[in-house]
Amino acid sequence: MSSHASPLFSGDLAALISDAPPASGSAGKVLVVDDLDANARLLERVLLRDGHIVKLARDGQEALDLVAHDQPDVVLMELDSAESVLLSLALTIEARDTTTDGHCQRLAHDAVSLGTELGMGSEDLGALARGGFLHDIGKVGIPDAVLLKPSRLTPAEFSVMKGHTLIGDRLCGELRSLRCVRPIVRHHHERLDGTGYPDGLRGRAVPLVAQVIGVVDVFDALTTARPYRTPISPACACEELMRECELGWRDRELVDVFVNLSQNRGLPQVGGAAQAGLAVRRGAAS
Amino acid sequence: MTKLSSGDWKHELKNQLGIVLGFSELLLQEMQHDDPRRPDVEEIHTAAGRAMELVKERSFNAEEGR
Repeated sequence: MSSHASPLFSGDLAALISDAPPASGSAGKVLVVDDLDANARLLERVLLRDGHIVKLARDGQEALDLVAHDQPDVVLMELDSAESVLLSLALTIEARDTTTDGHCQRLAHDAVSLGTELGMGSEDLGALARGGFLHDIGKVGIPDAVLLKPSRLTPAEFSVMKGHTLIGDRLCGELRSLRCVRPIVRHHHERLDGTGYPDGLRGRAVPLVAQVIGVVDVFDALTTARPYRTPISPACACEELMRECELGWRDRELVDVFVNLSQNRGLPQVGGAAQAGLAVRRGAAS
Repeated sequence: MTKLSSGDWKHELKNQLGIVLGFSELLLQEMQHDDPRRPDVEEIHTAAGRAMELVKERSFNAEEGR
């Protein structure tokens, strides 16, 4: 086998290196994200040899910090690292909207509790844990003026907000490791009667993992203070979920299990100064 | 040591082999053609390349259910 006839790298790195900036005459600032030191150093060697400026990041948070600080021309990362970046991005989005502090962690926790109670398998539970963090990843593409608006959204603004499900799906789309999470990202705002978004799926066509996240997402949104409304008590939030079952939006059996779980085991109650009252809904807990 | 699933195990192995391949490729590119160590490095590169092919072949067969 001739070493010179083969590509420089085999495996996933080969695809990455092929996207690197051209070697001659156009040195670029390149960020390499890889949790494997040797991989990172290998890419660094090649890129430095070709005259590029190289920064290395070991995980998603470090990568995001370097993107913000150094503004690289190109980011090279293996797909596993891309998931780490997405998770960090999800937490960054949460930090951007201070009213949703801790929302992702609570969702992941509650969704896994509910999934366990429903007897879901380990693959689905893993999807729920990651889906709790990543379900709203598409909000990275929603303008601040809409995402952070302290009052109700206009129909046009709500239409923009709905786009977060499609943007998120696209962001996860290339990652094989997130194939089980994509249905959550895309479909957590669907309703069983077909009036949800983005695809208007009906009944069993709505993936169960997405239904689970949908339920815990609404519960968390209702029991947490938002700029456009005060929080309601967990008991009232459960009543609201029941009402949504009667409207045909949610699966009664699933909601019953959640309500029991909430009452018997006590899911984290995060409403702060919770008070009874009607929820002013903005879509389904966007 | 962490217990790895079959898929994770293959992924890890491909990662490590990729490192051997990549660095040996770099060495070959940077070495003089008459460097006496060149045949040794070529052996490393060839063996790692063959091992990578085997892992990929095995992964493909597993995905095909064979």
